[in-house]
Order: sequence, then C-alpha cells, then structure tokens
Amino acid sequence: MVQHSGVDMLPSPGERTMESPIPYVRSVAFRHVLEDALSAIDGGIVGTGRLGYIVKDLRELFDDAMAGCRFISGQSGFIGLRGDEALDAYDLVRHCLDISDDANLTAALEIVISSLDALRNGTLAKDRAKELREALDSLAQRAPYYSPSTDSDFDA
Amino acid sequence: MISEPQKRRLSRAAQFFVHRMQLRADELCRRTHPMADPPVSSFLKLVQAKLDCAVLAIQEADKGEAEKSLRDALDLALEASREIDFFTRTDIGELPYPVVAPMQRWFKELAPGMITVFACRDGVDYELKAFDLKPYAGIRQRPTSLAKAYRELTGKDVEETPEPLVKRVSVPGQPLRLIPHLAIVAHEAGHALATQALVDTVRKAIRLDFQALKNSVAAQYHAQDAATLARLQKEAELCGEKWLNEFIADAAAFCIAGPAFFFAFSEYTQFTGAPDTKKHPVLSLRRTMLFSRMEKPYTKGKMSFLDVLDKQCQERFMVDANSPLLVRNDDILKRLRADDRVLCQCLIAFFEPLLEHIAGAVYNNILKNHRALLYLPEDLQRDLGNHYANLLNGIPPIEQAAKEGDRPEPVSFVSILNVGWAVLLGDLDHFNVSVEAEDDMRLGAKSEALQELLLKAVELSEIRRQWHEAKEGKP
Repeated sequence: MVQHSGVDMLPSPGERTMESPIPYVRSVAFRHVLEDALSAIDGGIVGTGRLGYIVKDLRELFDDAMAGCRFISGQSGFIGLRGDEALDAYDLVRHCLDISDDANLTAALEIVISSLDALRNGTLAKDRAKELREALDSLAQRAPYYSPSTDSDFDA
Repeated sequence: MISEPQKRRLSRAAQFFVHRMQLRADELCRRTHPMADPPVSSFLKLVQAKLDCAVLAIQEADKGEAEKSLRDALDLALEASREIDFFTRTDIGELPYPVVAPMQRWFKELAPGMITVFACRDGVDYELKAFDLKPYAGIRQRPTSLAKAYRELTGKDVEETPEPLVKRVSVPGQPLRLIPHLAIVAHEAGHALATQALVDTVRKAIRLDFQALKNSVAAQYHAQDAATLARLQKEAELCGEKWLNEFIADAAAFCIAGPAFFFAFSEYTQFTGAPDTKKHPVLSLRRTMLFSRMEKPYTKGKMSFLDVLDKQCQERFMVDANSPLLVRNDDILKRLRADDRVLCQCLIAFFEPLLEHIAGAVYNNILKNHRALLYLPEDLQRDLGNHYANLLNGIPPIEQAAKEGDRPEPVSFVSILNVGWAVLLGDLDHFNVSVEAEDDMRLGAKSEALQELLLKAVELSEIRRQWHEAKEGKP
C-alpha cells in the first residue's frame, strides 16, 4: 500500500527559494506588541515583563525613526550601520503618523518616546496617554501595509 | 463578528495551511544537514514552534474573538512558510560539511556573538542576509516549544535583549560553486566583523569627513535649487557610508584570505556586471585597493604577495591578471542617469585617495584582535613551498608540519585556496593530470580536475582536523 504523506504535493526545496521573511512591522508579533501596548494605555492588565519588552521594542522603532529624522534633517552627520533600519523606521513612522515636516516629526517622536517611558513606569499622564494611543493606533492601522524601501543585507 | 459556519470554514482553512507547513518543516528537519554549530535543525525547530503558536491561536478561536485568533493563525503560518523557504537548501546534498565548517570558523572568530547558517542560492551571488528573531519574541501567547527552541538556538530566553544576530550566508549551488571562488565568502565574514565600533575606528583612523564629498557634490550641482542640492548631499553621505562598509569588508577579506580573495573577487565580479553604485563601490576601485595590498610588502624588507607569486610562477601578475573584462568606470558612468553619474564620480574621487588608509586601518585591527586569522606573504611562501609542486603532480594539499619531525597539521582552507589559485593562474599547462578533452577545451578540463583535487583537499584536511581535535578532547 502506498502511503501518502502529503509532502510530495508541495514544491521541492530549491524550487521556491527567493523569498525573505516577512518584515517585522508586518508580523503577528508586532501586531501583538501594539495591541498589548494599547491595552496597557487603556489600563488593561499586562504583566511587568511583557510591558518592559513592549516598551523596549517600540522604543527601538521610535529611536531609529528619530535617528533617521535627524540624519535627513541634517542634525547629524553619520548614520552608521543601522542606517537602513533608521531610514526605514523614519519612513514608516512619517507615513503612519502622517507628518511630513521633519521639525514636527521630531517633536512628535520626542513626545512618543517620553510617553513610552512613562507607560513603563506607570506615570503616563492622561493627555499624553491620548497622544500615545493615537500614534500607536495609526501604526497598527498602517504598518501592515508598509514595505521597507531599503535593503539592509550585504552581497558581494 | 463572523457567523458560526464562517468561523468553522475559516478554522478549516487555517488548520489546512498550518498542517501543510508542519509537514514541510518536518520534512526539511528529517534531512541530513552539515554538522554546523548551531545545527540547521535548531532553526527549523524554531519555525516548527511558530507553527505551534498558530495551533494555539486556532484553539483560542473557540474561546472568543475567533476572527482575530484565526487571522493570527493564518498569518503565523504564512510567516512560517517564508521562513521555511529561508532555510531550504541547507542540507548536505547541497552543502558538504567540510566546505561549510572552515568558512563558519571565520564567522565564529570574527563575530563570536553572531549565529550563522549556510545555504545555497542560485542567482543571488554570495550574500549575507539577516534573519530577525523579533517576530518570535513579540508573540503574545507562546507554547513551551518556542521558549525551548529559542534557547537551543540562541542560548538566551525569549524577550531577553538584545536579540542575537542571525545571518544566513548564501553561496551558489553546486553547478556554479567553484572551490577557488569560495574565498569570496571572506567578504561576507568581513561584513560580520564590521561592527559599528570597527567602522568608527576606521573612520577615526583615516579622519573621514564627508564634508569634502558634500562640497564636491555642491560644486557639480551648482545649477540646482537648494532643496535638491541638500537632498543630493544627503544621498552622497548615505552612499559614502555604504561604500565605506564595502571597502572595510573587502579589506578584512583580504586580510584573512590573501591573494585568493583578490583573484576570486576579480574573476567572479567581471561576470556579474556593474553593481548598484548607490550600495556598492565601483568594482575597479575595490580591485585597486586589493591589488595595492598584493603589491606592497607588509614589513619593510620582506616580500610582498606579488613577489612570492612572481618567484613561484615566473609571472608578474598585474591588477587585471584574471579580470580583463571587469566593467570599467567609464562604462558604468555612461549607463547612469545624470544625477547618479555625478554622485558616482564624486564618490570615486572622494574614496580613491583613502583606499590604502582604509585597508591599513582594517589590517591593524585584525592584527590586534584576530592575529590567528591573518594570512601573510610568508604564509603564502610556506604554502607554495610545501604544496605547489605536489599539486601540479596531482597531490592535494592536506597536511603539513611546521618543521621536520613535528606532527603534521591539517592544511588550512585559506592555504588550499591560495595554492589552488597559484596553480590555476600560474601553471595550469604543467598541471600533470590526464584529461580527455579537445585541445580548445583542455584548460577547462584541467581546471575541473584541479577543482576536484581542491575539493578533496578541503574534505581530507577537515577530516584530519576533526581527528586531531577528537584526540585532543575538543568538542
């Protein structure tokens, strides 16, 4: 009797090899991070460890966006090896928050970053909570449709 | 809100997709992979654990918020399918262990915190591609299998920061994988070495200041409006940083692989065409930097790599010795749009005088921090003395003793590559193996025979190394 495992119907390895993993900002994990952050802002129960991870993760994105913004607006010279990540984050955040002016974006990023720290420390003021919520909500709505424009990989 | 029948149909679709991905991941896991560290199966177990997350999400659908949970399940399966693709062609049918092991040692030595996996890819050249672990750490509901697989691969707990760097090193598949060309992987190892700290060190050592580059862009773009000029100057800076990273990786590759890297890089890239000048320097500039390291002695009064090769092969190799077809700057510039052409010209003029200094700064860093990996002209002299004549007579370089009476040690991968290149370029006519080929294909057939001998050398020297390590009780 021939056993049918189902595997033989799938393309053999080597036939489809060019795809890259899905970008982080379009992943389920990032969606969960944003959902949990929004829940924490609204007073939902999120464990301390999880909240620490969420804030660290989001800070990394907004810090990168800030570095990209500073580079683009001429406030800093070298952007370094995280240049592609920084410019991608800048592009994503600018697109999601719908702010095209770099000075306004810098101000918005400063508020978001300090609000995230306050969220972790349990000191988030009401007005700041509203602003942070709006920013993260925009990110949750728009990030899934974002494609990074740069390629941070190296070839020969 | 979805209806009960809709939920049931969506759940079936999710289960079907997840199940297929499970079968595929299991099938790949059952293959034999090179004895690499970490084993490829560790990566695949992580992907299997992501599929366990998808199963959890399907179970959650019965407890409420069905639409959201089932969407998670489907998306997780889609992510897993892409990751499975990422790790295909990593088995020993594609990549023999002895070929992977010595190259992986470069990465282990130069970037100890980095986790690497080797894979075959056709049509993408040699490449270093990142694999992001964040899509694992951020998942809300994680089965124990995920924590276990994550720890097995990284030695860390999920959510522990920073996430370790995972990189896939791609090399061409069997038909296009020529042993002498594998020296190009040293360039990818150079990228692994080039952390921000090293880039900063080099920048400081060569007193890099992009102001001169921006000034020359301004001089060329005098007719443009201020906003366009500012944008182009930013672009010049960005490209400048990318070019610098490539030069650093090249310089590091030359330090660890010596002339084999110069010859492999030059020969290979003459067939790959012009690079995207926004990301990569023009090829001739890279070749010039490498050739300057071939020409000049590392220590005053000692021989350079070229001197050593000259003495052995009775031929003075020139910069284009095995790459006369390398795309010329003029041809690249002609193909570019006007803006990009000026940008490229400014970058060439900016970097040309810096090349030797970049190479020198990288050499000093490797000398200080990774001395054991440096390949020097005296190493080439020793290798050619021990193995050149033997290889011409069909005896592959497998082991050598430092002096008579000492225990023979396995010949290193880099030594094999360098002796191989010397014979390939210097004396293939006298390569004493019988080949059956028409006169006009004799050199091709001989090159193939040499390739086989070099592969044999890599395999046997690696087995010898393992034997020694086992005897010495090394894991």
